[in-house]
Amino acid sequence: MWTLDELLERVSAALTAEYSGAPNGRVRDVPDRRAVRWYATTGLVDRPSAMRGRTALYDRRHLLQLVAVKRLQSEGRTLAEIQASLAGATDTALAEIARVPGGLLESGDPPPASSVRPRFWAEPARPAVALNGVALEGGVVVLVPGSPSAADCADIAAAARPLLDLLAARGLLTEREPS
Amino acid sequence: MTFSVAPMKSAEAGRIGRTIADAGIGALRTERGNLPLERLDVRATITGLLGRVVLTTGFVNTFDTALEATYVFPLPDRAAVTGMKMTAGDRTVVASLQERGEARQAYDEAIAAGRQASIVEEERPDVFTMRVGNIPAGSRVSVELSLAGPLVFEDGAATFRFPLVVAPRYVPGSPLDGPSVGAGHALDTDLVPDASRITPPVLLPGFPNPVRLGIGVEIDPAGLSLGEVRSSLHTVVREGGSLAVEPGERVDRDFVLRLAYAGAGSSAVCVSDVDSDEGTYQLTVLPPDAAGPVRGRDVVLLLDRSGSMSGWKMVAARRAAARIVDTLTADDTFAVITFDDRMGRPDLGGGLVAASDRHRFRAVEHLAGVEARGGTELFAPLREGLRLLADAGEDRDPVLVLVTDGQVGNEDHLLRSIAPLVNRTRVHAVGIDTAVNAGFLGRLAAAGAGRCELVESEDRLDEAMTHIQRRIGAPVVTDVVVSPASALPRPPSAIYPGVPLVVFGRYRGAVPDGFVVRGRARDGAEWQETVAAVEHTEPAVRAQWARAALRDLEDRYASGDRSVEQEIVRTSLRFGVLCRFTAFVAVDERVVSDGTVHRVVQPVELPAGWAPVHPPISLAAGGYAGPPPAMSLAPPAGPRGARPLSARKQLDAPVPVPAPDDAAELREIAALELRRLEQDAGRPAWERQDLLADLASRLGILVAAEQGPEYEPLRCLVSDLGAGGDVDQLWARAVQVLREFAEVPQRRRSFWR
Repeated sequence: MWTLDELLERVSAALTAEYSGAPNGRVRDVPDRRAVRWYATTGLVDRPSAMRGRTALYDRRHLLQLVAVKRLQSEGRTLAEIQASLAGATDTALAEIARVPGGLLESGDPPPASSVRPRFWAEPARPAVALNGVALEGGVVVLVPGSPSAADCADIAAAARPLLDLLAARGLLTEREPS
Repeated sequence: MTFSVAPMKSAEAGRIGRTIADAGIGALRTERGNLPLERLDVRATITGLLGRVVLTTGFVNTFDTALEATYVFPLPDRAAVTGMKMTAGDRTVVASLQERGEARQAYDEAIAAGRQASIVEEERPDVFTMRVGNIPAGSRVSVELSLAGPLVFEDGAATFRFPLVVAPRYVPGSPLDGPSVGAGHALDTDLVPDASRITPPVLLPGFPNPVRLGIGVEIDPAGLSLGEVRSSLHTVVREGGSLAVEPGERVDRDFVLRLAYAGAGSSAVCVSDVDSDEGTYQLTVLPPDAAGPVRGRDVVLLLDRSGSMSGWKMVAARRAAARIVDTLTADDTFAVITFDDRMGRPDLGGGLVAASDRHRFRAVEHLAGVEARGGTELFAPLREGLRLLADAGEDRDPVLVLVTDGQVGNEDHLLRSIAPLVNRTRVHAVGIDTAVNAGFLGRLAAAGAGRCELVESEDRLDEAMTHIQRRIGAPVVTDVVVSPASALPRPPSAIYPGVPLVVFGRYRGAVPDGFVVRGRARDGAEWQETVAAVEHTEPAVRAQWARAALRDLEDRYASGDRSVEQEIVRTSLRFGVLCRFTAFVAVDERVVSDGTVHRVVQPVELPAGWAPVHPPISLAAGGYAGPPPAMSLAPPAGPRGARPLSARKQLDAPVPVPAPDDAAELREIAALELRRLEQDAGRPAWERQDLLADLASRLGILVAAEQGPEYEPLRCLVSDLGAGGDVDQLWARAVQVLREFAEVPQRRRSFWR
């Protein structure tokens, strides 16, 4: 199992081994995190195999899928065409398209043998927590789960000074500066 | 019988044919590609106001190993799923309904053993998952679902709606540890623990239509006289009262038929059980003609379309707004204003216009095109809305509805500027999402004597909008009681103009002679109608009752009453109606595979009218590129709060905004509410009941943010009002508590001492 960064390194290595780039040069060499998430919504790449704490884990099939997408893109295929050939493809079919060097496919540790949560349909979702806004200057609003008093708001504003200075220096505040 | 079918006007079709509620994605499969779903067939039989449907899904395995296909699909949310059959070649297996855990285990064991099997589970009242496993290489399997549900009847027309697409949902929360429970593209999160079960992948624009869609409808008016029939999809009429949708339609919108019916009357149908001395009834009562003239309403609807409203919020808010517009009549006038940092409105001129059919269509059309963008500037639209309502005549009710997820920093300034403009206008505020500025909306509703509702999900939004709709569309009868009574489901308590009251219930022993419906008319007088019972054998009555009862029980479970789980499972199994705690499972005894199985999730269409989600800019092949995806389709991205606030909330007030002296302000509000109660003391009981409920809704939000014992009486009052009871007693108590709270001498916060 790999983290997303580890997975992307392997994708990069596989593509470097044999990758011509897109004919029109517009296809970036290696997908980034956001691209991987977007691929998941279209079924081009499976969602992460599991979560370890906050870290998403990926394995061999994700590597095959990502490399296969890039290979077909470099042949000038549209994403809809790629979806038609890759959505639901077997590992064998993916491997034929992806041509990933064998060494890169070794994923080391076996997938964790944890089972899915039983009776998930009876589990309640944690209720959402309403947040309260504390307005600072320049359009900045701090959201807190508690209910700040007037004194709290003033202290928060004071404590936020360095952050506001940073935001102002970067030009990230609204221009209308009342003071 | 002969009739013709008119296509709906594009605005109407766009509006009602668009996916409602939870969204869906119609799944699609292509014959040549890898997708397993190749055929979707809907056979509907409409008998009067009952719709029965047989839905057939056809799967094909184009792989060289055994296949498990997963299909996430929508069904009408009030329909009862009563049966399932799996057919492969000449073998047909009838599914059995089992407790969900047992059914899942039976299915898993069958798949592991190489047997062909299928299972259907309910994820949401209108979203279901079907898995069909061990389809042998090169083979086809079809699964047939039977359902029955009521048609909605309003203002002389019945609506049959069959959803075909599950729209993408916004999944908030942080991912849970461990594997997810479903096959969709989102990971389960703490806020949506089954996110992976309701997020099928979406087909990209340009994907060839992968599913052969067939829809056929038989119509039997059952004694009613049938007028015009209109359809959201292109239909052709066949012989003998049936019609069919022309081939080639994509599975990307809801199929909606509107049937004009005349001649309906009140009725009570009783169906006795064959296996017990009990039975089920369906009671339909036509609304009485409204007594006295209806007061005209002047309604202004303010809809936030700022960037942070993208995703489900925009969709749900748009729908809710369109629904409010639809309830208006020609006696009313209205205006719709959508706003971010600028204001937009339908092409209807700058003022209030009569709520004629044409104007309402135009407004709904405008709403349908509203996209989330920009920052939030609340002041200008509020001022404009109140200005439009300032001249409302004494005989009219001015109403303003604000729907926003806004975090405004300048709330004090806003309220100060707005309060003098409120006048007689009733202001209802609906805050969407968890990061809404609750205090501001509560104070705004207090200034406008309206309801304040905070909603964090689509389901809650629907509920909140229903409340507000009721305040706007006055019922003709309230406090409705049916006898003999039935405990489940909870019957509706009011009758609205143009909408018959429909009550399902159970009786014990002999078939009742009739049913008595009592209530209170608008003028406070007693109202009563007696409906004679007719015996019948229609099994759908029983199924529809069970579905409604299960929905009620599931709501109770969701609100914390875990003790009803056994009753839910028992009711579901006894009446043979699917619910969230049960599943239909079919297992063929024949072994067709060695147990290795390839799993594929059917990608589904993006609902018509949804903007396609563009790939991140660098991904686009062929040089087309779009903006980065909105959050609507993205899997949960890290912790909550990472969500960007809408850009540039405007800040007019001096900063940092000094927080108000809460106690003093609440006393002022209490005094204002007290004056209102004294003014309205002479109103009829049903009106005062609504006034108290609205008072509780806004007071509850205001005191929720306060700590300290001095707020305790208000807190108790809110919970008492919520619990209900005798109106006069509650009224007196509210007056007393507000007076005591308002009159306590102000203790200044002496922080300098």
